Amino acid sequence: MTIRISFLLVLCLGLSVRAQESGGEALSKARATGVIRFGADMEGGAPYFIPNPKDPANPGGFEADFLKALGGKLGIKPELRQGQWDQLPRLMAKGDVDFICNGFELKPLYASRYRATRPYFRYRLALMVPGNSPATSWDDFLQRSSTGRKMSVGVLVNSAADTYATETGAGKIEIVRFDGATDAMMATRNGQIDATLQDEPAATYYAAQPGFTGRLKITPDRFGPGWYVIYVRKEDAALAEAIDQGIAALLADGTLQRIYENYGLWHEDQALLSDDQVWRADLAATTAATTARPPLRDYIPMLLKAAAMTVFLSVTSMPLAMAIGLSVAVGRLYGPKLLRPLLVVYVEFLRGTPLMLQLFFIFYIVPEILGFGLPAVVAAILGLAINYSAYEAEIYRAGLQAIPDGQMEAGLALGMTRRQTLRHIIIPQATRIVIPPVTNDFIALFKDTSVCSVITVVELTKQYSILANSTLRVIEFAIMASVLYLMMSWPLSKFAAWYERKLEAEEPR
Amino acid sequence: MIRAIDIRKSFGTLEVLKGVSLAVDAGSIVAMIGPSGSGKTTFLRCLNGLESFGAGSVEVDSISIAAGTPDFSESLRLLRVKLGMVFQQFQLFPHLSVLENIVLAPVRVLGKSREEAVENAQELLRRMGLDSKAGVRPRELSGGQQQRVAIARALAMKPSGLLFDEPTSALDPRMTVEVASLIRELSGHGLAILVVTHDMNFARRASDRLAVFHQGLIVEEGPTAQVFDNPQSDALRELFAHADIGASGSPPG
Ligand SMILES: Nc1ncnc2c1ncn2[C@@H]1O[C@H](COP(=O)(O)OP(=O)(O)O)[C@@H](O)[C@H]1O
Ligand SMILES: [Mg+2]
Repeated sequence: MTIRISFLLVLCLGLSVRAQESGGEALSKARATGVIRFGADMEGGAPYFIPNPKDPANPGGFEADFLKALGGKLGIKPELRQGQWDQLPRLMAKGDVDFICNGFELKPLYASRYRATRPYFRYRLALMVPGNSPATSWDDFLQRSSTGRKMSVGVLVNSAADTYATETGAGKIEIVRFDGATDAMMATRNGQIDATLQDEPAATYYAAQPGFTGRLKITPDRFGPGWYVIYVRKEDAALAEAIDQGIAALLADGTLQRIYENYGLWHEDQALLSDDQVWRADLAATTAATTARPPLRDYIPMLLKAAAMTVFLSVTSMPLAMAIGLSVAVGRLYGPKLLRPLLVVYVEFLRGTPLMLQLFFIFYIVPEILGFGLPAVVAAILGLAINYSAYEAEIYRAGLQAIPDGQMEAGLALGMTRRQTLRHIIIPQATRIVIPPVTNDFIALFKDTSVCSVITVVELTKQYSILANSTLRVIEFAIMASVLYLMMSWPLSKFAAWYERKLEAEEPR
Repeated sequence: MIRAIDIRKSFGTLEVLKGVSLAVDAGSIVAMIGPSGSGKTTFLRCLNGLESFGAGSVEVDSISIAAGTPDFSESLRLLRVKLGMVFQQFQLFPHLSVLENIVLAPVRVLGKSREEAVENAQELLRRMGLDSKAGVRPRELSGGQQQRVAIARALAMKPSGLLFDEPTSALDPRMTVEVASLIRELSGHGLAILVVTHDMNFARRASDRLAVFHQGLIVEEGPTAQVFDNPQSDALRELFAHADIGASGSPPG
């Protein structure tokens, strides 16, 4: 155990050394090569970046257009590198990209660690609710939630909306954190959550898209305004200044306004972008603000609660997976001839497609077919159980086949039916054989519960990611989460090894 | 009694049984002898329907099955209850104790209460001299002990007939005599017993009647002593030659 942790530490130290090496030269390198890499997330990223199938290197979107214009002013071509949105700051810290520009708001956590440029966009938040919702505004929604049933609000994890909902809705609403803005909209449309709080550009863009029109609406109020800024590494002051000048030029010659108007995003508040006093004051205050750093032990209850969810998902889905798997295996070996090819397809389909896709399907797409959505935890348990049932079916099939035919014949010769013989003679023996591989699969499933974070279940990995990203204390939380995982999986693998030895000792063949 | 009428069986193009008829009366022991690979095991498996057969029929007491009787038919299952089988490799259930091996089928098939089945099983184990082994797993027993558990398991169903496949093959040669006397004792209780074996000495010692099996047919049948003393078929004389004992020779003791 200690070996693994120190390995992790070495890994992390290695990364930070690398980040330091690339210090301060981003602009001069970019000038020399004529290109500069920046990080953004195109997944569900409209209207910030809109993938362009005809020319993938040239996406559309208001930020893409803005960066193109900015590049023109600087004489450098910005080159997009795709990354998951909440991981982008880390990509930059690591040195993979030189700046990040993707709806990142000016906030103390980032401003104290990275260098913020002057703002290029004044954002506001908007509330999206199902088409038939009575809510008329964010305040109205909070009011309804605190007086009636406690309602759930989906947000993009670590976004301005996340912060705003956490601050204004504390105790009144349940916050569900998604990895993508559109995922939260789908869940709202499907009735799996009650509303989603979004940055206005995303809300207005997607509300007009085919899957959402009429089924999602935006309340008329706009609130929680703030600045989108570009972040560069602290040491790249020269780059930040060049960008500042570029933005100023784009504001002065009206380019920025034209771009935003193309997307219907130029509203009266954008005028503040040119009001140097206002943004300078905000920038200075935000950079100077210190974020509270509670001691790590304060986070232990949260991590333990998430670990409990991990355990809960495992111990509920695995028995289901085993039951389904056993039925499938018995069906394949002893069932009606017509059923067998169907079961083969079942197994191969589930083994041949990724768990994450299956979870997405159950959580986001099945509701479209059924007309109602499954709660995330139920979808997670079902998804894990169904996915693993294919693997358990194969294990059970091997186990059943390992029992000599003579055992079935001995049962039949005593006048037992096939079913009785299976139940009392074949399956109990097969079960003993499959305990070690099934235990190993249980450990694998235990770790695969982390995939459930893609459908908003807050298990250990998701909790780690939320904490690490919202505090940037990545190493500490990585170690804490790893230790928790190990403490749980290690006894299980010990058990599997012990049982395997026991079986071998019993069966000297 | 057990009666097989004109049983025919082929594996693909290999015709193993070419019309075999045989009757075993209650209280008597028939030994069927023939060289290895001649189809003796196949014949036994046809008798209790573990192997389907192309033509013919089998009767045990009043229950009969015929060629084409489906695998899941109730009469086949009832016939199996009446006709116990002791497999060459015994096929004890390794995950169950000796006692549970014997108790399982009476409870599940005959619907006996557990207490009754356990009591009966303990009685059978006493008869087999295994009362101290009730709680152990089959793998902890010697071959002879395992065989006696297999016999007890079959007897627990209160069958009227019993089939033995090569009962001496998995045993120490010195055990042969004991098995023979055990089989004799069982027939004394009125069971119809059919033993297939390639062991001439054992057949002579354990059976009342002898059936000589050769190339898919019974070529000679009669009271054991008579057949041994006065073999009629070339097949039997051939067997004697290989078995290294004379037609009139007494079995080595
Ligand atoms: N399931 C089977 N499929 C094909 N051939 C078989 C099968 N079982 C037995 N045989 C063949 O049938 C013949 C008789 O086998 P068996 O009844 O086991 O003989 P014996 O018990 O007299 O030694 C052998 O040639 C054997 O190879
Ligand atoms: Mg044989």
